[in-house]
Amino acid sequence: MLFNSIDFAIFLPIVFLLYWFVTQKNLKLQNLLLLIASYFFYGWWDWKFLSLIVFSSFVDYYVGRGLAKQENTKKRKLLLLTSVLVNLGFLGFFKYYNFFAENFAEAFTLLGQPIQASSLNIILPVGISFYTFQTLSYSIDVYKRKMEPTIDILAFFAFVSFFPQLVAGPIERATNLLPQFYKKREFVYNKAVDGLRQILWGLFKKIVIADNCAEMANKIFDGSADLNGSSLLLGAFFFAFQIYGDFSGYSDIAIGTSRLFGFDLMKNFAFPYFSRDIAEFWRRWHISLSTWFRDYLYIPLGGSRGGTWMKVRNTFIIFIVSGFWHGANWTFIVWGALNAIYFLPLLLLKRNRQNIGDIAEGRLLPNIREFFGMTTTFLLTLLAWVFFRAENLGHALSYLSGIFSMSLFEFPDFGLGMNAILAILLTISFVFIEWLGRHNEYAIEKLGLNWKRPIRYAMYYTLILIILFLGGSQQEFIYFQF
Amino acid sequence: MSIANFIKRSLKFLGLFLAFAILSLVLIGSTFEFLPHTKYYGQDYEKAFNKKDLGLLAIGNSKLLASLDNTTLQKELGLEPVNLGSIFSNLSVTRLTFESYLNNCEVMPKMVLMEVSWFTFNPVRTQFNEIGGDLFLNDYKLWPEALNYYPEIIDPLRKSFMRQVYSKVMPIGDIDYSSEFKDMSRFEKTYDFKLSEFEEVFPDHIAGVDPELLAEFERIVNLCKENNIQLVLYTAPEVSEYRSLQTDIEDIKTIFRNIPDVPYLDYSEGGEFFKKDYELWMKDSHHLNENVRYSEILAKDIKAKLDL
Repeated sequence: MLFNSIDFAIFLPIVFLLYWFVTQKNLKLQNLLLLIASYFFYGWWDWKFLSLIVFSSFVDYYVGRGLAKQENTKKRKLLLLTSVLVNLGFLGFFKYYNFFAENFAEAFTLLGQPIQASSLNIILPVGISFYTFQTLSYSIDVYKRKMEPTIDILAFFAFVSFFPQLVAGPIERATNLLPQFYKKREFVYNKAVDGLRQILWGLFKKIVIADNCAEMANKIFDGSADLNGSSLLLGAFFFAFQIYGDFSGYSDIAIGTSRLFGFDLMKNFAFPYFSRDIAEFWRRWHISLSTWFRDYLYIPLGGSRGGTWMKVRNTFIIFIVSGFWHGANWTFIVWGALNAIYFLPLLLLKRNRQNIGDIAEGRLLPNIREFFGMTTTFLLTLLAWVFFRAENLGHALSYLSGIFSMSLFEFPDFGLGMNAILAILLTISFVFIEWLGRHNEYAIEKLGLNWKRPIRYAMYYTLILIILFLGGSQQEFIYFQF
Repeated sequence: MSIANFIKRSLKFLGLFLAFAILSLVLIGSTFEFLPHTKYYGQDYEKAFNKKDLGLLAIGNSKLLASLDNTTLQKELGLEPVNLGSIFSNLSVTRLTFESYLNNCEVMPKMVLMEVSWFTFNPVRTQFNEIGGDLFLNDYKLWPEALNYYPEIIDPLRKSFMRQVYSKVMPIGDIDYSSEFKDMSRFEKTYDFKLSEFEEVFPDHIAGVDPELLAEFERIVNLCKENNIQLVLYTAPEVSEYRSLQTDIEDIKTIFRNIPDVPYLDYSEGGEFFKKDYELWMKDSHHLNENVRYSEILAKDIKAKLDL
């Protein structure tokens, strides 16, 4: 079920009413309702793949129980390995089987031993990269004794499948989300209203910004061979805002929806395009994934301790794995590696934590240094997005060589019609609002709170009207494919 | 504040918005007019829904738009025609166009001329396009059917609504589908057939028969029967390269050939009325660039088939 669909607009109020009016006196019943609603939400796409979530939940629940009883280190490791193998096994099979099969075949062919690649017609189950990581975090945290394993199977199953964040995150940590299923949730008016406001902003980001930019980005990337440099640069710009609006919009809707049910999810985006360097960008972009990799991969590998070689190695590993997590294609791997290259100088010069605080704190505009840092970071990100969006490496390279040509200084020639102008104007307005709200959890969190109600309502109505009438054609959320 | 308060305020907020939305729809609907559009002939729709006593309705998609000339048809068949095709339109839109006309007309048309082809029942090549939104804004009698076309109806409806609003505050250009015709002073092949583009839409070279689109087609046939309207089907010319890739063409044509009392005139390769020369009349693999001479031929063939 898509957040930006009528189906969800019907589903959400029904679950909300049942949750607060029918089951609110019994915590178990409330969790059961959330579990059923979550399975229904997921099953709306394809019931068959529900079995994967159920199986993964069973395995991790019993691994957790086993870890609680087991003191023997070897056996504990074996239990953890079971969880890792099951979760990464699912992920590996559904997401990476064809990639490895095809690449092995190509490698053998290059070595003069042609073999037949037996690629399968595998459908990628929606959200598999997200829920497997979430449930894996539980097993690892229990193994490391960072948290007590749960004995409440219902709460655990509801935690793994919690519908607002099931298919595209934020990838919640068991330490944050699971305990919220143990406690009775109280309805808090301001929290619910805030949730609705965040949902509205998420829908705006998705439908107005991402979907409008998507139409332009698709047009330019698909026809890139015949376009000049300025069009291609504009295409990368559109894609940068498409993916940001799409994914952060989804996260906003997920967080807002959770708040309606009394839950607090972690922040997933913190205005990443206002970052002053790449290290800051990665602290602000897809925070739940970045911190997941930091805690469960980077730090166990040694993090930034050790010699230069260790730092370089660990940085490359984390960025390349992060790239590969996004998809079974060399373009994602190169995208990850490129970000590692951007990041390394900052790490090696120990300047990766120089921009920790808010940008332009207490000022309306950034200073020249901040502005230069923001612009440079954004442009570097833009170039990396070309790899993320391109069909293959050849496409990405020809796209980039198209940008870095003399035609970069020509007028865009991709057919700059009304739709493109509209997308640009909307994106500029969006960036302006985001800038004004950059110190908040989301851009419009506090916008208009002190205004009189009719004026505030008028603002919300305007946003709804813009969503309805200036939104792009409905597209699936990009991160569903990951 | 309590949850009851939250719900009360949310309902009030939504209620106000819904009231505003309904009012806007009524307002736009009551002042609706078909506007010029590059995807269809707005003036033909405007004429169809105002004149109400037309003799010939032409319905279909871009192949129909490209192949007919109203003046020639009127001269040859003696019926006042309108070209109600629109590019990419699927059979749902075609059927709604026809049904909406019947809802509003005062005299039933004598003939419906419908272009059908290999991809008529394909749900990718044909879609619920923008004219579908126009039809709903123009004719409130169609609204009970709106949910049948959810969610694909949302986008056309939104675009149509926006165009109506724009047209009230600023002039809309008068460019229509005729701008698609290329200038061809000599009849010669001026296009390149790109297999890759073809395979993007038809990767297996199969157009198939979508059951829902087939049902819409049957509704058109039945509407004609019920209202005693002569339905004529035809397939406009297509180039050989394109035609030779249509793996399941015979299955599709069987559907058109086997409707009792409905003549089917096939101008594509292998068809009864095919001529090699037509290849020089095209602007691409399946759209005619020459519609005057072709309309003359088509009208004469129809007269012969129906013994008019």
